[in-house]
Amino acid sequence: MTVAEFNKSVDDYSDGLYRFILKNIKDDEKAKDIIQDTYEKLWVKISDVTYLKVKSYLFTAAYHTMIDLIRKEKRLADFEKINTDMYSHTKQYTGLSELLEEAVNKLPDDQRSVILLRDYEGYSYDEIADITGLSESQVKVYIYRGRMFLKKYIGSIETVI
Amino acid sequence: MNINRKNYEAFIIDYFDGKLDPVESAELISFLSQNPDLEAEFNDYKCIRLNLSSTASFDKSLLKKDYSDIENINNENFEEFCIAKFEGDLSDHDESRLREYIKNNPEKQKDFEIYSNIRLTPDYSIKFYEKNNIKKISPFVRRRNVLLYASSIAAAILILLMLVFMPWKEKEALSVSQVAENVTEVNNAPRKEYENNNVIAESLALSEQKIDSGEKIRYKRPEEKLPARGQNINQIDKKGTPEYLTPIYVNKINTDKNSDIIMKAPHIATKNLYNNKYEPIELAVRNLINTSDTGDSWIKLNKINVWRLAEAGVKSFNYLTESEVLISKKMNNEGKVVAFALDSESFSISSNRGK
Repeated sequence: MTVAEFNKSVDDYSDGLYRFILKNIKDDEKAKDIIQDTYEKLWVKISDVTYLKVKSYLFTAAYHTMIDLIRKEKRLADFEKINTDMYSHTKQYTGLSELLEEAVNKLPDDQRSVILLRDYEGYSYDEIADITGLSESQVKVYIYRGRMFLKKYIGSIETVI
Repeated sequence: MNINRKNYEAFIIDYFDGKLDPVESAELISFLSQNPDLEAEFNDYKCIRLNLSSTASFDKSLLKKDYSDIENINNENFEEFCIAKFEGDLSDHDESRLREYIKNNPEKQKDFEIYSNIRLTPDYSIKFYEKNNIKKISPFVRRRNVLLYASSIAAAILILLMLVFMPWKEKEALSVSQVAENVTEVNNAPRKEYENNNVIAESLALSEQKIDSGEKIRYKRPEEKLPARGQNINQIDKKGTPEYLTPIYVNKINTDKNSDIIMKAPHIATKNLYNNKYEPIELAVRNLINTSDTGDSWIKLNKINVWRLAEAGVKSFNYLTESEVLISKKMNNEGKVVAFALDSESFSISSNRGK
């Protein structure tokens, strides 16, 4: 990959990458740091990464950097356990998107990541598996579980409303 | 092979690992038959050993569901079918089965609609605004920066050389009226030889005045037709332009009392190698850098910075080479230079200054 292609990858993918990371960790400064680190890693590997693969490389590197950060901060949730408190709600919602936003924040990290990759970037199961290091079946299971959780969350709030 | 109660465990392990040949295996079995207590231990090893042949390899297909294999859609698997539908995992046949199920169970329609709406959409207003901090400069651009800095230094050196040797354009010389206002008379001054006698004599002859001793020459300041800023000097109609003179010691002119007249240069004068004229260096520098500072004090020229020198260098370069290189800069609200550029017909260089 050339320097020009590297800079093009910044223009093309940094926004999406930033949205993905920010949505996961909810910390603007840390999200920016992760993007910086990710592109630094790419710069080191610039001769090994082709432009066709650069998006996948960026999301893979950013995802793992983010996971490492989350683990360092001991924020990694046990995605096997969904606290029933998660379904509690006290806010007033004005629309489905806001409601969905709230629900996504309550998803376990792994489920949230795969759903964001699926919905934001349109990745397939196998592409998400490559990025996250999970098996394709795990990705599918996480997406299904995540969707069920979101539906249950939204459904429960709609019942209250 | 000597099997005894101290080493029998190794033989048992080798037996189950298949490392014993038939003869050795027979000896082990014979030993165990003679030691019934150890035979029980042997049987325990047999129980805890994993049978590799019975361990099935991981079959990914076990985790994958073929929804066509699910005979009926029911309350238990309905949500899974909904998700599969919006994930694109259902075949046309399975989708029609799902539609049929919802048709027969209208109370499920709402759940189906919720699933259709739980796809996340990115907020495109969220952008990463620090792209420029990440982008890298190519080696070519780095070389261009080096060239730019080298050019700036060269321009600064050039301007210094210009101050000493540059033949100023005529428009930058003092006009006759400017010089004349500085004329003083020196009686009985010794005669001197000067290089530019003819020019001065001719110029002063234009006035057709004879000066008495003790009288200052006063010329009416002519209307000057100076070129506008940025206008090519060659495009100026010089017919109506008054003749310019340099401030120089004036040789004797025709006076009744044989006195010398000295026309003082207002400040330091520099010699014009091109047309052998002199002009004050302060004026020369001010004209060269095109500064708006109109004060007479040389100290005010301290406001000249590297940028102005660079501008002057480029201007001089243009004059010497008849080029039209433009140097420009962009400043932020704080008045700091954030970008600069050199433009010409044949090349263009620009650079943003980082934080």
